[in-house]
Amino acid sequence: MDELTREFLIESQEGLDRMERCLTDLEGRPQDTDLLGEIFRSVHTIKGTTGFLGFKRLEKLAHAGENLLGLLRDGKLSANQSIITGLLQLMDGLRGILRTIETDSNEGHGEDGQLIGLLNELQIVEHSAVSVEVKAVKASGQAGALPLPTKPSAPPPQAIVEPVPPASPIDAKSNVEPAGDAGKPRPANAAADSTLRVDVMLLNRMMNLVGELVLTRNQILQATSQDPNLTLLSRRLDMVTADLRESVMKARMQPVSNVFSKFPRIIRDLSHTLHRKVRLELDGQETELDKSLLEAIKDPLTHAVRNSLDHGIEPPEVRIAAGKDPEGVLKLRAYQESSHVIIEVSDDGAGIAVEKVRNKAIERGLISAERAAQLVERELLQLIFLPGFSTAEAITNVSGRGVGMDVVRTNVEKIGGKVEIDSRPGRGTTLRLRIPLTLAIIPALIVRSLDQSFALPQGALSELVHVPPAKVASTIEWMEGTALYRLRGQLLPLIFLDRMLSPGLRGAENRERAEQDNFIAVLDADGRRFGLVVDGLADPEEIVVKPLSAVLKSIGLYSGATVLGSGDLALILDPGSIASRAGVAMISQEDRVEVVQEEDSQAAMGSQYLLVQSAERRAAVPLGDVLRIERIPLSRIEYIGYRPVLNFEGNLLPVEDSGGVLAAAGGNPDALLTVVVCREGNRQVGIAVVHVLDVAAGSELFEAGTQQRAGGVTLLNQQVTGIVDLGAVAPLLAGAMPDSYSTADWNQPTEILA
Amino acid sequence: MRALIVDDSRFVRDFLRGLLEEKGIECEEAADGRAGLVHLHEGVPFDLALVDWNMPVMDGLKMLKELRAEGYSDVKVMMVTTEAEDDFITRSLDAGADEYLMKPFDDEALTEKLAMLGFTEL
Repeated sequence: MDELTREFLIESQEGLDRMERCLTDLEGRPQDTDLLGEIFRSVHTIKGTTGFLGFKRLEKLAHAGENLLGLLRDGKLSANQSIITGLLQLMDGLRGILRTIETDSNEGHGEDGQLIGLLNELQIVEHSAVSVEVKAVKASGQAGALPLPTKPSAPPPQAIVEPVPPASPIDAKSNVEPAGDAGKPRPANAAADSTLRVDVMLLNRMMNLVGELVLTRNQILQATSQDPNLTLLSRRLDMVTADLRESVMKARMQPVSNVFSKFPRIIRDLSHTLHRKVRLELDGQETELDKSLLEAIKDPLTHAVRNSLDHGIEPPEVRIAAGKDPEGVLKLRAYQESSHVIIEVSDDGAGIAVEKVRNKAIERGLISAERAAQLVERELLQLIFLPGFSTAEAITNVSGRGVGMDVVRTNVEKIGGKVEIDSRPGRGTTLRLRIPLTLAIIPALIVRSLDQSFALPQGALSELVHVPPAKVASTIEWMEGTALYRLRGQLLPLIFLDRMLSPGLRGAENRERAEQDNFIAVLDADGRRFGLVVDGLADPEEIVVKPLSAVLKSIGLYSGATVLGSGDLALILDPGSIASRAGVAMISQEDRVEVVQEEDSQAAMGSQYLLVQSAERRAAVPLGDVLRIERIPLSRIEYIGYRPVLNFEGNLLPVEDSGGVLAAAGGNPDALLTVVVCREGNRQVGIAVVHVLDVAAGSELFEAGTQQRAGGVTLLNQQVTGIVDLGAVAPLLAGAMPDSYSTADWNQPTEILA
Repeated sequence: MRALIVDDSRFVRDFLRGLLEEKGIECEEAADGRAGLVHLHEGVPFDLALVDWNMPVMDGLKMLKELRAEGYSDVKVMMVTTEAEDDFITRSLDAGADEYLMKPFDDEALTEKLAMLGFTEL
């Protein structure tokens, strides 16, 4: 059911509720024009609005009611018992039809002829009356003569038509009750009853309170972790809090259909203006997203759709010439992927002409000709997200209004999302918006600087680099006061958080830096990539974002504040503002392209892997699956049956040890080993390694099956390396039972697709 | 361009707003004539007011008369009405309405009426 129909149902039911209250009052004050006006308006509004939706049956019934009510309102008729009863029947009849619309999305085929007839009779009968007494007698006489049914012949709208009570002046009073609805089962107003309009402010406040609760829970969990008596209680608190948080978040969710529903119209109008033939396909409309995020993606999405029609889908002649269906297809698809909602706008149009993009970028001075010449297709596509880029040949009134894809990207990144683009010449373009489910609670890495904690949103974090004192001199280079870090052959501009926080501080030169460990958080923000140097790293945490006071906000480095599990306060760093404050912005555009280029040329060769050292050999773990790298003593490893497991943040993870790392530790409980925590489908698994070597890109050679429990091999740094097959790590439960230990899926090599 | 939608039905306001915003028209809403006048008094000028007749507090005709009496002559007024209110059309045109629109209407009808008022190329 679309939004307008729902709005119509709720409004109509509210109107009928009002009508019911007024009718009850009317029995005491039959001449009250305000009451009559109000009742008239309720029915009038239903009649007026139902026409927009084409509900003819409802319109007919409301129309008959409106006529009668018009006479009453204008004083040409005065309300008596039989009229009030007739109006109650009208109300029930309308409710019945509304209910059918709500459940069946159509108004059914009920017959309202008798009710309409009654309403018409009431007009005529009363209209011709001269005196009160005659009127009353006539009314009761006429009404009694009517073939009044006790039940409507219409099955779906349970309009319960009662016999009209005799309306003589004498017994009118005694009939007040039965004329009402006492004791009668009323059709429920399902839409109005099961939904409630709630002030967004109230929802925000609830979200805030839940946030406070989450913070308190985090602290309680930390405080009680050592006390076995309280562990159970705090676990329960943990679960209830998580459920509550989810429910409140759910209350703020709205289906994306709220936004999608406006596109059929836009497409119809645009395809007319642009002389395109376009068929719109909508998929996943029921996918839900936080209301504020939904609002925020409206414009970017509209822009993307306009772009698809303007630059993507070709005019019918061109399509026919290219051997395509003259009608283009524009597809809007929404689906949830873990904690993100993905919204795709794809067309089967011409795709993006990368050569045009290249030329335009050079022409606009966004990139030098030499550099442009080096870019491959994928990197060229990224150029359309640069500010000031527009491929529109002429400025049309559809797109090319000086805003372009950079606005789409900026808007989506503002809400913590990401934009990806995929295009095939002649085949079409897909734009993918990756939107977080909510903004109020985000995963963050807690970092330390100047003995304070700061929260760094993980959305912006791409990797962490540890630079020990001994390596500072060889890896950090200084050029004109700017520090650069050589990260896998590229120069990454560095920003020192401590120096940024207190500008008077010296100690950014290598000499001082070499006295301590340095940690570089590699961040991507607003299309800029840089390294933020901090003194230390603490745990990742789910933090509740609290708004900042104006004073702190004006500093411009922070996006909010939060309370950590330890009870400490922490400010949330805003990577984008930090980058622009440090002046990364200016050099970034070209730099970013360079970074993208290097990454993409690696990506073109294959995927990124985390290179690890098992006891004897090197192995590679697909980087995209890696969640955490934990350094733990051997004593933390427990066993279920003979499967090693790790209690990690309250979850038991099966630990894969094909490299024999646990055995190599020789049973020494203090021996340190590294566990790479990975995501495998919906579960997490751990892989025991001696240490992590590097991150590298390689191409998967697909020699699945050369080695048991290996997903394939890859070429990393010119060395053939086995890829750990996460899918083959047996589920914990199966592993706990010796019978199913050697199941087929444990031994069978699974093919990993790059 | 700015339009003021005055109608006691949320449905009609939403419907109208949807159509008008598609045309790039900025919309303000009021649920009755009195509230509509308050919007006008706020000072940001409107190019167009779409006014329902039957509303609580102050009906459309009263609002129209009031608005013209107060000297809001630049605002084009389109009365939005149902077919049962024929004589209302004459009465409202006499009272200074510029155009009328019959409920129910669709985008085409609205666009046509807007064009009659000189709002073309929307």
